[in-house]
Amino acid sequence: MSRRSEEAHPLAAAVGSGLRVVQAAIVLGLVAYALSGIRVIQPTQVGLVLRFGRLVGGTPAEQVRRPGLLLAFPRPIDRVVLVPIKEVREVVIEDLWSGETEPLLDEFGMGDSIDPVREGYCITGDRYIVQPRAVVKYQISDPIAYALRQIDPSLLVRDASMTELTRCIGGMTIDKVLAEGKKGLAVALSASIQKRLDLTQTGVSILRVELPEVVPTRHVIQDFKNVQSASIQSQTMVRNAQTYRAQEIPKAEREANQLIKSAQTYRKGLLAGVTGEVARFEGLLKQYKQDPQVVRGRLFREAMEEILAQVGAQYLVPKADPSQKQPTIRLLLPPKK
Amino acid sequence: MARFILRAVVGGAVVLVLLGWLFSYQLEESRSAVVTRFGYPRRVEIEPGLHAKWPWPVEKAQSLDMRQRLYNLRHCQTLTRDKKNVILMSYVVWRIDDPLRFLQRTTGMTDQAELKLDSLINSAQTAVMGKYELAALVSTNADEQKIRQVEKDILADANKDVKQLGMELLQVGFRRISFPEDNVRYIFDQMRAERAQFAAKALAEGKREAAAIQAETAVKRSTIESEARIEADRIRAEGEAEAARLYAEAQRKDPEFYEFLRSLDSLKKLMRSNATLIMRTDSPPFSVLRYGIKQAAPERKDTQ
Repeated sequence: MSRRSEEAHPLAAAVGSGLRVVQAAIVLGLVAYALSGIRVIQPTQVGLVLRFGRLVGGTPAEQVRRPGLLLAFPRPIDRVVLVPIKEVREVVIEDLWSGETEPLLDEFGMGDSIDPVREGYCITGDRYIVQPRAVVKYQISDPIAYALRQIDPSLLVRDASMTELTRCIGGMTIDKVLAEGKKGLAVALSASIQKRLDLTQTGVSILRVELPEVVPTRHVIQDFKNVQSASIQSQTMVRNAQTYRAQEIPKAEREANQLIKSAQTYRKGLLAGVTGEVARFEGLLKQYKQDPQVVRGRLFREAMEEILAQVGAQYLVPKADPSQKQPTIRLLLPPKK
Repeated sequence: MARFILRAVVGGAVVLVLLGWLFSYQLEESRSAVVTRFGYPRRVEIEPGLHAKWPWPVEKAQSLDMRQRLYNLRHCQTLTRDKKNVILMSYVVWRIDDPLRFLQRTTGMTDQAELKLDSLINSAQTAVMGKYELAALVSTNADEQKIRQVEKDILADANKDVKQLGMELLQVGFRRISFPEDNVRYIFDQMRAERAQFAAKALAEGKREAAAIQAETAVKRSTIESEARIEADRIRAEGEAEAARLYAEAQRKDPEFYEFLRSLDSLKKLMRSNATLIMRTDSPPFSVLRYGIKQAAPERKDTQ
């Protein structure tokens, strides 16, 4: 008996050491389990702890755990919900937009229309049709409401935004929508989407609404482009006329100045000439008064010299004899130059 | 001995956990549970946390998600009070209001519940839209557009029936408002006509404005020109008057001598190379040739 037990001893030792490995594994597993509730909350997140399903903490300030190390019990005692509160989320609304700019070749036999089920659009206040595409950016403002009180609130953000888009465009004329669509409408939208979401305590805050596209549908887009090109054409005409005016008026003013200046020059020249002449006359008059005969003769001779030097042809005829008949002179004129 | 105690503690803990699991259930935030005993509903629990119950098969806790849900309705074609056809695509936010009633009326399946919602809300939409004109949905007049009021009416109308099913509608909204295809065709025609009119108007306005600017330019230019001409004429006339005054002043000093000088000057100007001069030999300076240094006789001249 004792021999047998002595023989079995090595086997028992082997089993015992195996058991110790298993025991160590179990202890390790238990420790890992006990620590599995410890979580790190990233800086962009907050944490909510549900103990036996109930939110831990008396006030919202206690319930929402700030970023850092979170000590919680392992499941099934505690469940930790992490909510990315700083993350800017975005929802693109394309259900009211087709993305087509050319009429489709085959509109499924409908031709010039839109199937209201297949394709969305907005009706403007003056009963016309436009297609907007919107991007709504938002953030979670109330992690408890967002994570615990509703199923997939991001879908509600999309549908509420679409609803407000439909409503806001339904209150504006098509020209207002197309003209200020991207600014005024976006601002109004962000407020009214927020208002709608607050009615069901969605727990999000709308940061910004963008409208990258607000267009007439592909069926009539060419007609809108025609208006645009007509107004560009009209502006060009006006601009050309303005350019013409900008050139013509200064030119006329320049010419007018020239006219006046030449008149002034004329007056100045005239008066200068007259003054000179008068001065010469007065000078001569002084001499003349002293010796009229001499001065008169001198002036006459000087003049004659000048005249005779210029004149083309000269003829001298003798003094008429009163007793005789007047002499007859035949003139042969030199050819004209 | 120590070994026995350890075993007892471990064994006891295991048994406690097992019993706890059998005799309790967890209720998470925003969930409710209907506890049934042998199939009969006994109580409804809405407080989150750990709750006691008899183990299966005596009591059973059926848990329901009470969170707000979103449901998109199928499209719904209705007629407004002014007989306009509109197609509405709406969404609703709803939640389970009365868990027990909800379980009894809908068997607890949310997709089946939503099918029931769909028909209830559609009939509410049809009923309410019949009381409003199309302008309540789309209008440039802010007082006419009453979408929020329409939504409220639909909500109130539908909730009467929906609450019977243990559910509650929290919000309804028109995601899309559309017209039937035929109306859209007509709208396109109208849009085209209007745009063509705008284009023609824009062109006409441009032409008119350009023509006005050109006309204004012409008027301004001719005004500038004529004013300048008048001014230039005035300056010239002034100069001439002044010159005349100076001449007259000079002349007054000795009219005879003045006349003599003027005549000489005139002659100088008039006698050019194409003039032919015929003079008598007794006129100076030629008189010298005939009379020597005798006094010159009065001159006489002719031009051709």
